[in-house]
Amino acid sequence: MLLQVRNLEVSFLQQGIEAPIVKEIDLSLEPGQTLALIGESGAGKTVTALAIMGLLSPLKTRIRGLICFEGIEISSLNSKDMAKIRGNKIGYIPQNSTSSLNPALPVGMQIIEGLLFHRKMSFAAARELCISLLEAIGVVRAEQFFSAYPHQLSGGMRQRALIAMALAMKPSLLIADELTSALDVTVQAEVLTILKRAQDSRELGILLITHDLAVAAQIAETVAIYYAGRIVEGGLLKRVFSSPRHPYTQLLLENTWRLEKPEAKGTHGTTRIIRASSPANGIEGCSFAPSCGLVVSKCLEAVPPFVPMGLEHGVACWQALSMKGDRNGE
Amino acid sequence: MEPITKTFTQSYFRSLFLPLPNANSRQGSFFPNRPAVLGLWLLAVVIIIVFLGPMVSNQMPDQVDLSRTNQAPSQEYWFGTDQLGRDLFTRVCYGARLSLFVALSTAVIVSFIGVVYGGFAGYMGGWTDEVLMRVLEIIASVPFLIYAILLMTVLGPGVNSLLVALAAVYWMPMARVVRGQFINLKEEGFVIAARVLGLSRWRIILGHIVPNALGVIIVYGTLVIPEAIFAEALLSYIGLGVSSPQSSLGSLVGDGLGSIRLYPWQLFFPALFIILLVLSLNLIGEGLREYCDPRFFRQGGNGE
Amino acid sequence: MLRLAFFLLRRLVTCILAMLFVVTLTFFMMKALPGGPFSKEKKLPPTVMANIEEKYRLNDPIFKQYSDYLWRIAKLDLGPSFRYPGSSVNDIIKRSFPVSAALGAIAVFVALTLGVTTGLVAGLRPCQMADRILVFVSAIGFSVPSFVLAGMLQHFFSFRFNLLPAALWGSPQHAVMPVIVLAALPTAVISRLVRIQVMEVMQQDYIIMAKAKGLPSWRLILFHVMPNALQPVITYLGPLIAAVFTGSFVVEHIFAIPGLGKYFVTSIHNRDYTLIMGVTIFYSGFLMAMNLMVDLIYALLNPQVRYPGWEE
Repeated sequence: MLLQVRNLEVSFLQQGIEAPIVKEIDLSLEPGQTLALIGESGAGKTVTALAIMGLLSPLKTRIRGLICFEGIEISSLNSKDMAKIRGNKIGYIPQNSTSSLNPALPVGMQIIEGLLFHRKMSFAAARELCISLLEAIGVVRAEQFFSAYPHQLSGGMRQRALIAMALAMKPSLLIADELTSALDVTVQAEVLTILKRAQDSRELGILLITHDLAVAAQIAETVAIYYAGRIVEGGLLKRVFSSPRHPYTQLLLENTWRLEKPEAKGTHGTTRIIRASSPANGIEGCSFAPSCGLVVSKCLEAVPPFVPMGLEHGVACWQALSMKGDRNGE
Repeated sequence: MEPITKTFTQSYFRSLFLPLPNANSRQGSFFPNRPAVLGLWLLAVVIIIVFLGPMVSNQMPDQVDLSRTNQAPSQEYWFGTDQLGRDLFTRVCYGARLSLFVALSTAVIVSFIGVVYGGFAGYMGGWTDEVLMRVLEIIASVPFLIYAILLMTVLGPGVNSLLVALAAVYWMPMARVVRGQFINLKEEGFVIAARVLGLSRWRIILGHIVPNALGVIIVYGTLVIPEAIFAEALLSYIGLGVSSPQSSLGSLVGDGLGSIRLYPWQLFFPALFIILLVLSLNLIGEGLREYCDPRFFRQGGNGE
Repeated sequence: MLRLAFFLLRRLVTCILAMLFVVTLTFFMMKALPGGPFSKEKKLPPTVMANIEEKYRLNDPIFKQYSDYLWRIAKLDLGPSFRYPGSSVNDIIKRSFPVSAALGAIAVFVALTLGVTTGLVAGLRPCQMADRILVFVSAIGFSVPSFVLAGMLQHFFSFRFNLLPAALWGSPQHAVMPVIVLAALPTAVISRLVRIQVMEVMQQDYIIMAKAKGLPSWRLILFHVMPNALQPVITYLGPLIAAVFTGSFVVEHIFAIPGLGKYFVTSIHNRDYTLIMGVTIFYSGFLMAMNLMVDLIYALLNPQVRYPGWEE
């Protein structure tokens, strides 16, 4: 098991009050596999990723729960030991390629920084490695690229620089946050291919954060659907996508499907508006209830637990549970 | 540049890493800004002392009495007396009034010149703007103290020369700021509408642009006041500012420095008043700037 | 590169024009003065007066005088001093400016190191104890005129407790108080500037990225925070140098340091007009040259100026 997250809860401290952002997060990822975290912005995906890397400021946040990486419990490591794992074993590709590069340093320097520091490599060796890596991910004129400054590069090139930065350390886990959302469709495909190739060549586990179901479908084996700071449905991507149990997942898939096949529009009738998920809306019970078309009285009373639904598939929904119960009763 | 990718949550996360506590609560309101309120109180106290003090002390500022020279502070002479036996408290009060008068007048003159010059450049734009701004750039690259000293040497000491010299120095930043404001406001809808209505140029400038630029003009005018007090004190100290029998805080400090060995209070009291005055004005000016120019203070993480 | 050259050329032309402005201003202002430079000695017989006027060419037509003057300045000759017969303004500058330059350089260095470190400490941990103390101290620093500070220091350190020499120049102890006085305000300005910049930079995404690379904090600060946060400090270097050197007029006068500033203030008291003119021109030229140098440094250190983009 590469990464295991058990009952993770992250709260932000605001004037001494803890405001929970994500709750009861359980994730697991095998080496060489891809786990996609799917959800709208604000659902808590990025916070989960930052919590795994220990990048949330301890002054502003409280983290509870267990995070194990390669069998080590990293959630209780001190910042110095954590810094050795971060970057070295866990690579991170941030969402915003424009602002995530330091404008005052050449990109090459930023890429090999980790090698120089964690691996104690010589500059020449690190440069060599970096240039071959850049060529592998499709950068032409890699030498020139190495000494270029961020403002000289286009968006796609900056994204590649960030990918190279994460891959240069040969991490065993790669966290890619909205990797493709800012890119053109063609570049998107290229970038995904680069990741796939990197994954195949060594046992790289990828934690992919996205709101794009199509991207997830292309690359991920397992998936976790986030809504309002909780995982509402998760499991093998094939199962979740082929037989979604949670109304939110159904809605997401419906919408995607309808976008791809416009002629099917009529069959689904009205479009429902999903209220933006907010983790601290103070409602007891299921946070999707206000937008859900299948509310039963229980939905407003208690938060549904995440319950396995057959093999490699689980859901947190009273409706789905009752249907399961009915089926068991038959 | 990236309005689409930059979501609220993103900047929210960003602000987690190093948010400025209280930054948001302070932004956009003058009174919750505690330093500015402190500044207002300080200024009020200083002004009350300076204007009502001499009535209570019952001394004249330039009444020479050689029988009571260089006395230490006492119940009769609160701040002691100077080498000519003049009551230092009264002199400090009158000196502070003069300093305040010079600084305030400078701020007013500077605002006027700045609005005329900067406003003209900004409103006309194009070639006129280019020439006026180049001229300004050339004058501004002369070190300002040297410029002021030069003017004072020629004009001779006195309050009027001081006003000329200080205005000659401080109008430049004001003109730049006003020009920027005019250029922005010129493109605003209500100005274009006024132009379409066929209002005369002066009517548009005085009726539509100046009122909207007034906030910024007042802020920068306020910021000029402590600087002018500083500069006036410095020039008076060198011997180029006000001349005897008039006294300003600067000349009093200059006199005090001469006899610091034996009568240190002759330095301390005028010095204290300069510091209090400048400190309070600085605090108020900064508060006003934060209030009127949120861009300057927007470090909270949202926005460019 | 072309853009950079154009930028520097424009600055250079501006400086030359500004110099011309200063020289012209000094010349015509001195000419317009009521009473010539020798009006103090009213007892001089007319023949002597005529001799002097002849010697200093005060009888030539004004434009002749002006063009002569310009030509002399262009040859870097600032002329004789009225009050120090036998020594030219150039001599005086040569003799006294090294002292001012040494004092100024130390003060600039102190202000930079102290301002940057305190600003960095405060900016990395805003609104904590160190930060609050710093904000408070710098607010006071903004409000104390240099000559007041100088007087206070003299009073306490020299006359009260006898720790430091009250005046003159020579040993390191002599430099302590003048340097403190000169560096105080610039330190407050720099520290505030750096603090705001560091807070701003610490919120940037590339800092999160650098942390995600597992870099130790010294490397983070040295390579990622400082290069970005300190760029505005470089633009402040010009005003800083100007503030320190013009500030030294008063400081040298108070501490009786035999630098150019002391001569300048004395020449104002003495109405030694050629010296006033000469020193004014010299200081203007010196400070403008410094500004040009700072512009060049800024351009060279800023990659966005140095390398314009290939794409976009």
